[in-house]
Amino acid sequence: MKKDPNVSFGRFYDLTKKRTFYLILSYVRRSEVAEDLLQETYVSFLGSLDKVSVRLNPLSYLMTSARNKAIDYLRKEHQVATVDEETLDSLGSSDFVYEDSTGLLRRIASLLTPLEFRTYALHVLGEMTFKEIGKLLHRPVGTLTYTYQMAIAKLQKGLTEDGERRI
Amino acid sequence: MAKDEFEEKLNAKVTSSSYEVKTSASDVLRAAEAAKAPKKGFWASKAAKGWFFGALAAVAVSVVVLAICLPLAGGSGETLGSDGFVSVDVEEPTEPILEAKTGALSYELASIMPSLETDSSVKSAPVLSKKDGSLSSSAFAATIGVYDTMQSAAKEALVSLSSPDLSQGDYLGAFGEYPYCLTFASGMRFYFDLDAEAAADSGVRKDRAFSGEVVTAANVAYEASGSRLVRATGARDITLTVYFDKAAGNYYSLEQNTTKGSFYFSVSSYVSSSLAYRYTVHLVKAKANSGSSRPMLQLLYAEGRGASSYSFRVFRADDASLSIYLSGLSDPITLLYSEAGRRYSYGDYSSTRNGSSNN
Repeated sequence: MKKDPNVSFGRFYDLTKKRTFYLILSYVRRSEVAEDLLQETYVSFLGSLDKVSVRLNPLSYLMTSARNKAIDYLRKEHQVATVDEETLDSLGSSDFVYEDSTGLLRRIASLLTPLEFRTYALHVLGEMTFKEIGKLLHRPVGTLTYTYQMAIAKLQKGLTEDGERRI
Repeated sequence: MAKDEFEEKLNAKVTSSSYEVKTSASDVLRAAEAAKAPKKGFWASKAAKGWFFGALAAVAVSVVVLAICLPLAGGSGETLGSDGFVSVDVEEPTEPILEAKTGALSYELASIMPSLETDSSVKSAPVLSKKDGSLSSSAFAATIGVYDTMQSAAKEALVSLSSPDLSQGDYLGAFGEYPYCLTFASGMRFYFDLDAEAAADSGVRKDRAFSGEVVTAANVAYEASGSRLVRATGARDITLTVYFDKAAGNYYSLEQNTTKGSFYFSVSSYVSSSLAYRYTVHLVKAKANSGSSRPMLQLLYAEGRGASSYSFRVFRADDASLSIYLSGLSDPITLLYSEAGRRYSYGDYSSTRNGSSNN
């Protein structure tokens, strides 16, 4: 891809766009914003290809860049100079604006904490392993596995209270 | 419905009904073409993105900045006598005297970093005048040449211990991308990432590994990697290798082992994979006759072939100067730090070292 971005970028994009999109979405919680930041992330990535050394995992670089863009967006949106991990999630909009065909993901987002939703979305929709998520979010794999199991338990209770037919 | 069955059905439904990303690869490529403007350089990019995360202090403590508190009370205090080097009693610090301002690795990095901007050549052997216990002119020059290699270790510990800033961001360096940056007062930086795959916790020992790069104030980058081991007993080992030229086998190797002293580390310089010189730094408490004590740094320097060695004991004289005792020498060499650089003086001899390594 370094030699000719146009040739293999399409393949790379198709393989990585979902996890990148859902990572950003899990922070900004609005699909149209996530689309914009997704494009910005890949444009930056293409512009930085010459700086990405051979030994560096380009996917890891891409995902870190996506996460930073999402956090940067929240920082600017809420006009705060700095944010720490504890307050980060509280900056996301409480409304989850996402156009899935059934509204199921919106319901899931309303039932879970930001970390639970992020873990769930990255694992299920982004098709990332807990190890990959842990490296990205700087969290232990055990914590994420537990978080995911807690999320499933919450969803089983919350969604079946809504009516098991939803599943 | 069983939890596993619920999970399977839920995930299948979420996946099948998920949102289709509208942005296409061609959209991105078009946007990339349109955005072909001059790119920001690495340093500008770093400065823009490197915002400080106060909460990362906890990460720093657990990963890099180790809680070794140092006995830094000191000042000019007691006079130890003209033969202080020979008769002084020393002991290990057993309890923190002052609040820790920095951690061991931070201190050690700050100690060796100035050496990265000076020469790392093998020093010549000392020429001591044995008859009257004083230095000849050539011996003075040779001695401060050796001491200056290690001076920042003593300065950091005794004169101006500074705490580097730890920040988190998106740092793109010469050898990779890193989420953490330690910035030292001198302008040097250590960018690093933790190796999650190498982390292990067996209950009796915790292993961590990190890699990154050291960047001097002049923006010269050196690849670095290291590890930290903490045993259940509390003993810690740290290793850090900074490569000048990896292919040629030129590098610094820094090791800390708290079983040898609560504040003890060594630095070895390798040229063509052969040991050029090695020095050890050991911070202890020096006891005066009155029973009071003050911090003292023991520095041992040896050439790789073992042909010659130096032994120094260093005390803080005042806020800006140190007294350096050399083994076998009755009077100390005085080192004064100032804007102009480092001024060494001994009797009628003096020598000033300038430059960015004045840290």
